[in-house]
Amino acid sequence: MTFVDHYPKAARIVKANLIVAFVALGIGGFFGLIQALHRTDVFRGFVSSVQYYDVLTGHGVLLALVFTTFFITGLYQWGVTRTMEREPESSAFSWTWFAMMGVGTTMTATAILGGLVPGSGLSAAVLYTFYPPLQAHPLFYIGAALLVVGSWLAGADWFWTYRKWRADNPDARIPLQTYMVIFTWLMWYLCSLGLALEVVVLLIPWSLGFVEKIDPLLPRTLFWYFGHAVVYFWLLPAYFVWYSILPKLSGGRLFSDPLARVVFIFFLLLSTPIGYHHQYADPGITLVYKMWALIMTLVILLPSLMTAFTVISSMEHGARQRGGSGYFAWMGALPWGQPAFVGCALAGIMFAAGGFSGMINASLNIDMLVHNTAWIPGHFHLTVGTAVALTFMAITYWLLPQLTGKALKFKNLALAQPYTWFIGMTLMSNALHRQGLAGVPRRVAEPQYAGIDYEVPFGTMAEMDWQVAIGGTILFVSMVLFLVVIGGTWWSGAPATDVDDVIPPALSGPEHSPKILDNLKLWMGVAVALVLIAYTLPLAEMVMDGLFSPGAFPAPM
Amino acid sequence: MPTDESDASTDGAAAGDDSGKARDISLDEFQPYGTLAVTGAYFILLLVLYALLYFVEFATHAPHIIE
Amino acid sequence: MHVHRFEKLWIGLSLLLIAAFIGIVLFGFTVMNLKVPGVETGETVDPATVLSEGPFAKPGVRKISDDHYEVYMLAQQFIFRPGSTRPLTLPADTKITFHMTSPDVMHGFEVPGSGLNSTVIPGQVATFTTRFPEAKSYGIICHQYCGSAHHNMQGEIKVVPPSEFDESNLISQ
Repeated sequence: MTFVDHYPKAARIVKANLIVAFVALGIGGFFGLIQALHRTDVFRGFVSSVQYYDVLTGHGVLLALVFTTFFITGLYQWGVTRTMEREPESSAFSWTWFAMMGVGTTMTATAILGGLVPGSGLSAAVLYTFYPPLQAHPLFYIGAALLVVGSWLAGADWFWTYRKWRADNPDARIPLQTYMVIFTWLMWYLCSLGLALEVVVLLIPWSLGFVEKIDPLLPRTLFWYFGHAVVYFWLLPAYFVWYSILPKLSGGRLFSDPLARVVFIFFLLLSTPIGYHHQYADPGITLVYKMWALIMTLVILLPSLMTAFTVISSMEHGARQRGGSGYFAWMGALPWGQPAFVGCALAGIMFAAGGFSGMINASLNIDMLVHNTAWIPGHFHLTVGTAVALTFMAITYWLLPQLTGKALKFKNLALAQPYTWFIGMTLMSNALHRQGLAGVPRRVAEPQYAGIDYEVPFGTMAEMDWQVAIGGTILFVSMVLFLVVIGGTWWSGAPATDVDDVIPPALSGPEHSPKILDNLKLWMGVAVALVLIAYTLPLAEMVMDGLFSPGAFPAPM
Repeated sequence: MPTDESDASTDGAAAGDDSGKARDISLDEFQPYGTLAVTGAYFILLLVLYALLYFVEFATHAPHIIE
Repeated sequence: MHVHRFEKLWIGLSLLLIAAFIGIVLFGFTVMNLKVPGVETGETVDPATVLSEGPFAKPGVRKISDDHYEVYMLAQQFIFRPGSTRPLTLPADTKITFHMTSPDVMHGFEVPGSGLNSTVIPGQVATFTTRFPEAKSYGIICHQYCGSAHHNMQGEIKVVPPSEFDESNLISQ
């Protein structure tokens, strides 16, 4: 008897979200392969350099917005249902938010993919950041709005469950998984508000022609109000897995439940007010706010560094329970033959590297060396592309038997998959970082310029191009392995006989921590206050000289 | 203190068996020396790499924005 | 709340690390003069008229003093003006202030492998000052996606010894 037997309604919702996530992963991942081969000039036969930007838009949106969001809503539905021990309050409501997200996704994807179909009249080669005055078909923006609003309703669904649980359990501490879901979503409401305002108030009316000109600085600033916090929207679910499940996978128990809560409070407070660090190179943002972003962004390192200690110590606990010893040798005692464990552990190791390049990005002036170069995708393929994506893939190996009642099929492929991802990403990301230091730009179909010779710190451009191409190909193969394992299990897996879905309690539980950690209103209040401090004046200034002014003409893409 | 006995590797590294628990360790018994070692090494690596990147890779690559 | 002494130590080290990074950045900013665009607040301009009115109607190099020149430069689909059709020539070892804007979409200005990096936003004037230490050729790349020929948008800055700098092509104020 496992999750699907206890909570069949929730299991169906979780599975539906995961299916959309994996379809998006497959298409978006294929686009990534095309890009890796095209920009390195290894193979340019898939698309023209003009179509490259349609492909790039598809890659960014399908992976960073669709794959992520749907996997997160699926994972979190699972976590809320099992810790609140309640099916969703209303199936109709749950399917409504899923449908809204799905319809929105279909609209946006259609607009993007239409750009690859000559004569379709649809196109959205505006990239995942869709900065105006580059203008996409209205479907692109309307779909994005529906996806976001649908996700708001998902959160409302879980808060509903939480209220019902609270009525039955007036004095209990919020179970950790639900706590992490709630704090992620409080942060999400706060930051996605910026995106909703940008899309609904500015971009949709503009794309429909109700206003002609648009002030590019205001939507860009609203995007980055959202755009930094969104990376924590992706990262916190990975932390959810690392805090609540990885200790068990390691053979141990979570070292500290209360510290996990403290970390999530930090992220609620700090994720949104630091958006200006994406605008260090921008005119129109005064130095004071760039300095504020510098300091607060470096402070937000703290919850991630704390996470490193708590998660690694929990893994160490498992390793020592398994008989491991020594200062470093204990790592050998971990279950490196278990696909779910391996993926999460390798994801964590890569995150340590990605965290470093993020520290450089955050550091105001040195960012001028790397801003908009290949260093940036080098960085985020380690973070969202591995810490998050590989964790999501790995934990699916552990979740799928609970959701389907079927045993994992093709276990050898499942074990090979995270190792191949790690190798592919090591090749691709190290080369992108080094190319970035030489000044090779990102988001460019052909970064080879006549008369411009890049000065490489060490190595050669040719060798780095090959690493990007080969690494990207290995990543694609790894993704295919994942889809084969999941598809095979789902459709033809044998019934699972003994699903190990038990998670032991933390070594140090919430009962040893101050109740103030669970005070949702307090922490949300502080988060809102910090956002008001950071954004009121600059946004007011941009709005007061005219909402759409100084206005630039649309450039349809 | 972490024991000096050689790593008593449990079964299952290759076969994927995850029931390799040898014993239970309580909160009071558990001293995360291994974590301190790993995170300590990471701390030093971060400082060194950051300084190298900042003072060598960045600062020596003129021109810069000076105002 | 039970926080193991090792974790407390780690939190202390983390705060130290954060302080060190902030210190290094501020030291670089103030003492080593490693800055970012827009330190001086720019005024806004109207993208619809910027090509016909104001200093950007005559893009190019102007002399402020013997040690200070300024460049009004446009980034537009898909060229830098000046810089793309002919190299932008500038004297070495002299203060150069760039003012940049765009009449159409967002662009980027990057001299690869250096600290010269700026977003160019229609309606805003990106202002930054630099000093080219040696006479050589530098590439300019547009690194902010600006449309279908984005990958063709490039330029050149030719830095010459100050004695060889030809002042006959300067824009008069």
